[in-house]
This record gives sequence, C-alpha cells and structure tokens, in this order.
Amino acid sequence: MTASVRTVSFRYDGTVLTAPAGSTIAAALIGNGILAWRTTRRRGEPRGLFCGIGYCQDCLVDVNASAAVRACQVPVREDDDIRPSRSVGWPGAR
Amino acid sequence: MTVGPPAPRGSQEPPATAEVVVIGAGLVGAACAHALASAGHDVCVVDRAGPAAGTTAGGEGNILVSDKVPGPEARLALRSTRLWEELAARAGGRFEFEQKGGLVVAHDDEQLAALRVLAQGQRGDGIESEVLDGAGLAEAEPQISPGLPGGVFYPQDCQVQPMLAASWLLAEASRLGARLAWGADVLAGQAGDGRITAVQTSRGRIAAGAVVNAAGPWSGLVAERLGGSLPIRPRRGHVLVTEPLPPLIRHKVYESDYVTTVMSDSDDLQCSAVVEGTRAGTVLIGSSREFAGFDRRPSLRVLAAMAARATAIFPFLAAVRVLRSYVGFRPASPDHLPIIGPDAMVGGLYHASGHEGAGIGLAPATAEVVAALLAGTPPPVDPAPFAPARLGAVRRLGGVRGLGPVEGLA
Repeated sequence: MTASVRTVSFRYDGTVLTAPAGSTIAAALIGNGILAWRTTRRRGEPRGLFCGIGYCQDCLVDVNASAAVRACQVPVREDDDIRPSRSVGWPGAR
Repeated sequence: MTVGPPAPRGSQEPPATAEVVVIGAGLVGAACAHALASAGHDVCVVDRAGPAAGTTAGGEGNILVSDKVPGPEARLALRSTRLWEELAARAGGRFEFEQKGGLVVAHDDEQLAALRVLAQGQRGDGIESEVLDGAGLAEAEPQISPGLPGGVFYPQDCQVQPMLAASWLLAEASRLGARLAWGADVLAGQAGDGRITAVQTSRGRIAAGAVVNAAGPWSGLVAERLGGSLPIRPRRGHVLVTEPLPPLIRHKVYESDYVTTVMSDSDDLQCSAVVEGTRAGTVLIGSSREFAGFDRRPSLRVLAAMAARATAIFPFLAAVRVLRSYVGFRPASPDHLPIIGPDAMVGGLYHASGHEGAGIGLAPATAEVVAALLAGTPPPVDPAPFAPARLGAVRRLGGVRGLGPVEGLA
C-alpha cells in the first residue's frame, strides 16, 4: 500500500525545493539537508532549529513579506519565498 | 560541614566571622559590598539564591533623575548618577551603561504644563531638562506618534544592564577580599547588649560586627528574623520584551503619568508606558504597579494595558511581536522614600532598602551612605530623610503586609 504524499514547492535563498505538505518550514528545510538558515547578528554563528517548540527564537527565517518568522511554528506553503533571516523584525525598519 | 543541597555555582564557604555581612546579592547589596570592601572592610555577601536573582533581574535597569520630585531622593539620585558614571568608566563597557537620556511625553496640554512645572522645580536640585514641543519630540524620537503635544528631555537619565552590573560589582568586591556565599538563607540573628553579633544562615553561622540588610522586597522578612523591623511591601511590576529590532527608540521614553503612578498610594493597579531599546535589540515595555503579594503569575490584563499605552506613543510597535514577559517585585516603603541607615532597635543592623523601582539607579549612592554611616563619617548626601527611625509611627500603625516565611521565595 502506497500512501501518496502531496508535496509543495517553495524557494529557499532562490533555490526551488519541495517538502511534504503540512511540514513546518523548519522540517521542510531539514528535509532538504539544510540545518542552518541564519547567522547570529554579532558573531555570525550559524543557527537553525533548537527548541522546536516556538520558544527560543533561534530558528528565525524571512518568509515572503514577513521578517523573523519562527520556522518551527509556521507551515510551508506553495510558492513561499523563504530567505535566511536577518534576525531583525518589523520589515518597515529596513 | 554543610548540610543540605550543594551550594550554587560560584559560591564560597561562608566564613566563621566577617566584619560586615551584607544580606542580598542584588544590585543594592552588590554596591554595598563593593563600597565596603573598597573602604577596607572584611565583607561577606550572603544570598539565599545567588547574584541578581530577585528584583535586580525583574526590572529594566533604570538610572533616572527625571521621575524624582524635588527633594532628598532627587539629590540622592543625582549623586548616584555621578557614581554610576565613575563605576562605568572603570568597568569599561562591561555592563552596558548608556547615558541615553530620558524623554517624558505628555498626551495633552494640561500634562505638558504639569511637566513644565515639575521640571522647573527639579532644576533647583540640579536636574537638567529641556521642554520640547511636538516638533522637538519628533526630532528627538523620529518614530514617536505625531499627535503628541510635547514633553521634557532629561539628558542625565541613564540605563544599565543590572544583572551584568551586579555581577561586576560582586567580582570587584571579591577581588578586594569579599567572600560570596550563595544558597545561604538568613534564618536568625544573635544579639548581645542590643547589638547584633552574628547571623545564622542555612549554611552556617557568621559572627559579624555589622549587618547590612539589602534583601529588597524580602528585607522586611530579613529584618524580622534579625529582631528588627522594616515596613516593606512587594510592589509588583510587569515588563514585556519584543523581538530584536534595529535601533528605533533612542531614549528612555515614558508617559508623564508615570511620575503620578510612582507616587501613588493606591493599592490598585497603576499602568503607564515606559519604553526603551536595549543593546540586544529587544524593546522593553513597562510599567505596572500593584500590591499583589509575591504572585509570579503574569496578568494578561496588565500586559494588554501596557502594550496599548506603549503603542499609543510608538505606533510602529503594533506590528512588532512580543517574545516574552516577566514580573518583578519592587521593595516599596510607606512614604516612597528609600530606607537607608541603622535599625531603630537593633544596634549594628543597617538597612539599605525601600527603593521601590529606583534601586538600580540609587544603589551606588545608597552604598556610599551605608559605608559612611559604618565609618562614622558624613556622607556626601544627607542621610537623615532616609533614616529607618522616621517610620516608627508607620510601623506601629500598619506593620508589614504581604510577607510570609516562605512566600515569594522563587
């Protein structure tokens, strides 16, 4: 018996990738072998999923028009444009 | 031999004797330990938890002169600000000291007129200020709501990261020979001839020549355990922390209502917006004041009221996410003045408490007063208005409310 899993395609840093529908952005990125998707503001150290439950704020990504979204909390959607986060919220500030 | 759980990291064994035992490793206790060790005293700091574990970690790091009504506390605040500058120069940036200035904003012309009167009175004590109109506000804070009629800018207001500052002061005190014992709850005192001679802690007895009670909102409890008394009540506050932002808020910005709420005698909830950016990029949003015992559960109603008020001053905050919130307990005295000086009954016991929300700012000058009183020399600021003895009548009338033997001990 084969379950057919619907997939969505999205862009990460300009590259088109796919992931099972319903995945969080964090799961979608890890499923594509991407373990770090931002760097810290001062020391430039890599960051990806840490707590996985929405608390630690380590897994931030920029998604479409939204900045600093928690990748572990938000499902990936078809045609999402996901970019490494600059770790700074409020897009109007840029 | 110690009994019970192991001492927290960084703790030393409590000594059998110390010239001065400082109770409390928050910023006030740390500043006292530093001042006393600098004066050559053999000091031991005890805390039932560890450094900056209570009120110091529950606030915003305010060093304000702007919210002080003319009088003794204003003079103490000005002296303390000068001492903070000296400490910061020596610490070389290790505790995020910023002379960023405070901006008090009015919502209407009536409030602006009242602010103008307050600023005029404060100038007599040496508090500098500049009255701004709406255009002046916008120039000082480009993101501020365009509808506000004006405010007053106070260049002497500063900000500090209080946990880093307390740690630095304790490290300096330690370098000067002070011993630091954590996990040591003060249980009782021993006295002879009406003078305190020793402090019994959960980690052993320390014979002491003098004791400084800097236990913040718990200092009333500590005073009782040592045979003295201190009418301190915990006045609870909330702080909201936003996601990190680019530098958008330049000063410590607060509503003119803040001064009224600080001086209020009401037991009910008081809210007024206090907004500032930090080095980490987060924006801290306060403030609330209420007598709610040592209840650590945050109130959504209070957080919502604070957020609404902050957004009225900085509309862009409406689109900013909040990461977390915390509560803290301010040591409130009955007359809103700090309580600094000898206990009215127990010789050798000195209190350094009652600063309510101003303890970070007032800590260095408080420590200076304590050190001078112990040395028997006149401090630069007249300590008489802060003497615990002034509260004798209040003590008999009101007593200490909201304090139990273990309540609020996190």
